[in-house]
Amino acid sequence: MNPVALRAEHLELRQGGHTLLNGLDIELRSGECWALLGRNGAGKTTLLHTLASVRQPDSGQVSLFSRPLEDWPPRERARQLGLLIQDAREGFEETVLEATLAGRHPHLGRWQGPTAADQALACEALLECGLHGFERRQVHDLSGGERRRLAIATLRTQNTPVMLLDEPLNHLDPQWQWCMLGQLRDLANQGRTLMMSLHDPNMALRFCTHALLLDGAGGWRAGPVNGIVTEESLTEIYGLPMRAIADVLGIWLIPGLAPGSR
Amino acid sequence: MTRAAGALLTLILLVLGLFALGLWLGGSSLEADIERRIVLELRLPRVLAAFAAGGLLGLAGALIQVLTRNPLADPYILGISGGAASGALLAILAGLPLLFQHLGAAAGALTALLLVMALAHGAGAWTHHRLLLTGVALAATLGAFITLLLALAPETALRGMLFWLMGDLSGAPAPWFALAGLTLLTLLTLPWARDLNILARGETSAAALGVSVKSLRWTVYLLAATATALAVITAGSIGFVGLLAPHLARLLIGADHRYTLPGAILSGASLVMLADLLARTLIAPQQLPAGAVLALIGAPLFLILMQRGARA
Repeated sequence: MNPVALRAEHLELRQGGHTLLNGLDIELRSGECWALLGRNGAGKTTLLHTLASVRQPDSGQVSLFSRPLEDWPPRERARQLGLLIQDAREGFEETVLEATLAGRHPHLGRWQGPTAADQALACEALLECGLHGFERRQVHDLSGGERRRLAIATLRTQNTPVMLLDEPLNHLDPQWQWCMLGQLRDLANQGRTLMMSLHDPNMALRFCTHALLLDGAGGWRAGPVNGIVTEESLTEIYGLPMRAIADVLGIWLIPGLAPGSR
Repeated sequence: MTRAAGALLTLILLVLGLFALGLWLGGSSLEADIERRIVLELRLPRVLAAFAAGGLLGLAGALIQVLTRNPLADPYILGISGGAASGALLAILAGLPLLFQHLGAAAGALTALLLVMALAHGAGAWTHHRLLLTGVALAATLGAFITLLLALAPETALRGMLFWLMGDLSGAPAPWFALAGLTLLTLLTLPWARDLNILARGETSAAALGVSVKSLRWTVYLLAATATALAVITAGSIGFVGLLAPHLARLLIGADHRYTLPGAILSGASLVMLADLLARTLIAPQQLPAGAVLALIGAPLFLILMQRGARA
């Protein structure tokens, strides 16, 4: 079995006096690609931020490569673990290449600027994310989908063995959803560890190895994706009857309701 | 990179040129000895004070704009300058000599700084904005207090008080204090330049990229507040330069604070040096408040540069 990259023990998350998640025990191993599913407000973002050490757990512990998260010096941690946030807000004017190179920040010394190798890494990430030729453009001029791909390129430039992604598919067209998820799965196949919150369970079935389902009231289920993302569990999680339809590509899970019915 | 280096070099040459002009321009005396004393004892300290005050305000402005992530922010929103102004105006109102005006400004700035830090301490909602909102509220209170002082002041004191409020270098104390402060604060700020680039992109992503957001915010706040206090004690509350200098630097250099910070310092310094030069020579021997001259030339200059930037 591959080594454990990220481990949560007895993790409890509360938001506004309300328990979102209770007693989460989970191990994310290298080579695994996790889908994080749950209805709106179930605590997906809160969990990802806690695992990334951007937020403190309300109780319990998270460890990264067997070392408690709070014991990691922030810059060292950021060389091992990266987070794609849900809505990247823009700062002052900057070019696409400058924004991508922000991912190199934890790798550079205090007085150091990005090297030619850093630039090459950033340009390669931009190429993979379909932003080749955009390097000198201003971030302000990009569309929503292009900015999302820029954020993914920035995370790839950070080049961490563990990557947490909060809704990486936001604003993306179907072809880019497919392309980006394929690349993210490749990153896991190369030995990295990924967890991403998703809204489409079919994407989880196609591209992820494992899934974590949150019910938003403390409960959770985790395991290999095929055993977890099922008709029954999704019906329970989303409070909407879901149906499984099989074709040559596999199982497709869709809402089993006629439009207009409740 | 080359663009940044070129822009910084131009700014350095500009500062040197203004330095020379500041020493040589003005009425001259037939006697070489008196001439030399005017240059060394009157003009040199004044030019250096203009350099230091402008540089400090440029630095403080650049830091505050990152801290608030608001390009409209100005170092005076922290309430520090309001505290300094209150102290200085009280000294003028009491008819105390010049030294006490500077001491009053220093005491007022320090009181405001400590007050903001004491009031802004605490947890709960608003944690991130508490520091700035406290400063804003204090600045508003002090602004009202200053208006009250002006309304109550006798006619004889009013002119001096207005000059102080508009920024005036004619009574600048020995500039070495402000110069040493500028050097020290610059050396303390530059190691954080790249962290500032990351912080400007938002706190969550900065934290995920390994920036210790909370301690960096306090560091930046203290550096900016100290710079503002030193500048205001030296030259009164010269407005607009703290807003203008960082924007000039960004227009000329770009958004990388490793270059933008020195650029903002040099832009601020040249703006105040130019404004003070004009303030004391335009209708000599009558002197104008440097702050008013600065806004008169600075604002149109900024608009022209922005127009050119929009066309490019």
